[in-house]
Amino acid sequence: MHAVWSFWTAPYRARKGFGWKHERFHCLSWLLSVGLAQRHFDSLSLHTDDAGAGLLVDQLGLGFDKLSLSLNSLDSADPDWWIQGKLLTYAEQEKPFVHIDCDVYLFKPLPERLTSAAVLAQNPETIEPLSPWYDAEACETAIRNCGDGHIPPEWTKYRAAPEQLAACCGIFGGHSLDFIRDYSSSVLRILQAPGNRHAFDHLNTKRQLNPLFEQYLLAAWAEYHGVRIEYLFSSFDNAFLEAEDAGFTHLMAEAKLDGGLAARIEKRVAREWPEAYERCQALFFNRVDGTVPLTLHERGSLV
Amino acid sequence: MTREELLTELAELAGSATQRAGPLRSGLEELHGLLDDYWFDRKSFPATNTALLSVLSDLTRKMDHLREGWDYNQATAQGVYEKTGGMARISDSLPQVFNVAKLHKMGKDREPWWHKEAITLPSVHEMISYLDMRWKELEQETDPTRLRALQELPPSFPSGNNPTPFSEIGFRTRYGYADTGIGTALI
Repeated sequence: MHAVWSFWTAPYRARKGFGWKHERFHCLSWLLSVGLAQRHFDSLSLHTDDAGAGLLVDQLGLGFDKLSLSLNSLDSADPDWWIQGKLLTYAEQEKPFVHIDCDVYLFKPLPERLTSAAVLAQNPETIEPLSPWYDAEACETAIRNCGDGHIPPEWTKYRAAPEQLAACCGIFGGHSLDFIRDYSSSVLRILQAPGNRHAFDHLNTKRQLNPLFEQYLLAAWAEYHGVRIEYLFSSFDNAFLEAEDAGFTHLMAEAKLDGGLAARIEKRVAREWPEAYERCQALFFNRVDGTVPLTLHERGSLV
Repeated sequence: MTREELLTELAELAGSATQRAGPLRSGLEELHGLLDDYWFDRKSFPATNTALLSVLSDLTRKMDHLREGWDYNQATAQGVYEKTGGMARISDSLPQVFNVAKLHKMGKDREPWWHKEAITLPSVHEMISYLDMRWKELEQETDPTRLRALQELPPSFPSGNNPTPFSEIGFRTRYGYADTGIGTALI
């Protein structure tokens, strides 16, 4: 099985998709995520842009079997929709794969039922009442009233379904490349349609809607096309209960701001990959006094 | 407030929900306050779970009428939605079993994970699901000692010595896990 990561730097530079306590921990998380996964997968690849390759490959020294700079094509894309980097990466895959978020750590290999699945994801999640992440109605209204008006049938049909879920994509992939390409490129078309460029500008929750376009519409596409998603966990509750046995960690959302977890990540990376850790330290610490962590902007990277 | 007064008020709230679409939201906020009374003074209202569930179920049915309006008459539903500030859409979601008890059992020492969530509009459906779950837990327990222990548990969301008022609880599930992440002990 092929492991894939993606890093589109425009949202990162604009602070529109990543909420790490400090950029240094973002880099340490990359080291941990890739370092662990390389024990379990046949090959590794990274889809990013020039700046992303500069940081992750040139400066941090992460090794990938394949490096794609295809996310340079998102230069003019709206960075509020940070999910585009992942969707484009999904669409470009030419062999069965698992996309791993950089805040996901696989301490054990994924089970065979996942690596052989047509489509795989982390776990289903319920659609909460008034959830700002899955406000399909607000998006529909925005597209109809302020955009190009086109809502795909997969979306409209799912909206009427008695039970609606989203597919949490801390990990995502599978063997059904045609389906994955159709889903991801279709969602990209919605987000990138010229008529929709400013359709969502009036929504205060615009950036929070990224999960709808990735995770809700994935479930909608799967339902419409009769594709079964194989989940690592059967629910969020079970993910919470079973993650340690499965050797699976996901620092979702605000967990990335947890100083205690960040310290443990640092300790782990320093112990297991000391050379990579030193490279990371050199990126951020002022060599003069050795104590002041710099931002990448101050350091001159990703500018 | 006595149990009877509480239940009467709840019933009135439920009965008037559809007639008073406008005040529904404020009615529900009032309901949260009443639930707080019940929550924090359980001994004044013994054995009320069934009665309370009955009243809340009635309220759910009333809200489902709003859902029907939403489903079959967009124009009317839009009006209801605007007047109620979104409550119609709450009823558009299926009740969810909010598995707080399981989390509580496994993590009593952890800081309650809903504390940081800003309150939006707590869902009556979720309250009902939770109460329903608690009630089933009581019903299914056959061991007398465990049953007594369950009965003595405060019928509240578990939050140690500082029970969180319903009116301050933000119901969170997806990002309920966000403060702690998943599987972080492995790091």
